[in-house]
Amino acid sequence: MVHNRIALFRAERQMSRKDLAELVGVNPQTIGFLERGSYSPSVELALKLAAVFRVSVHQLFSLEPFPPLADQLAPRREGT
Amino acid sequence: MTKRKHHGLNLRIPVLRAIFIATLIGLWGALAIKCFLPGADDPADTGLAWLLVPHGILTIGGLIGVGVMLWSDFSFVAQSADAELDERELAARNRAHYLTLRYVLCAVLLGWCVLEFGDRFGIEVSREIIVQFLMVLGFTGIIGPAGFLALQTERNAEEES
Repeated sequence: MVHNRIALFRAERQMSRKDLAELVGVNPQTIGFLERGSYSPSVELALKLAAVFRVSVHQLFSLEPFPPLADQLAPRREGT
Repeated sequence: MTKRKHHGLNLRIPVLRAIFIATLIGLWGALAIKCFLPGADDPADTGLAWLLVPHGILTIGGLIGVGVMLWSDFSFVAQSADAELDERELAARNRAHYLTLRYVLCAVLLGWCVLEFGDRFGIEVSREIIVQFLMVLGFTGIIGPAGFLALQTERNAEEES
């Protein structure tokens, strides 16, 4: 299974699924399938999505689950 | 965005699944009744004329189901050109066509078994039974891609459409 941060990046950029779907040329339902991890994209679609968010494919997709955002922020809070 | 537009009946996925399964049960059920009607050419003589009523109801219900399935949105997706679908829809459509092919091949194999061994179980394969079998195979084969597409589509996908 391929894990991804599409929902996170999309929310951060305040984009709807329809907006993102139009930018990468797919049906909005496909964005939902991708976000739920029900569908693994082709290399072409992964590259298009990464280009939209201006991140590398590795930042957007991973074979391992991404750590929760709260866990990533926690050490910083403790340090401040 | 894909170029596809919705043309057909935009039924909810569970409804379409239920119609597909009911259509299969109806048409195959009608065929099963026909097979076990001795002297199917004239069942009135055998005292089994009452079986013609459920046979007729199942056949008509099945044909209505075929009509609804053919007019559904999923049927248009199943028949769309490659360029009108995105990569996920294309993969789902191809899978639905593959499942339909397997279904038709299994049905043909079943038909051959009945023709070959049916007489051992008291099934007289008349011309009417073969005609009805071909009708069931043809109609269910036509709606197969739309039906299998509905069966394999996630329920929450419709909320995003």
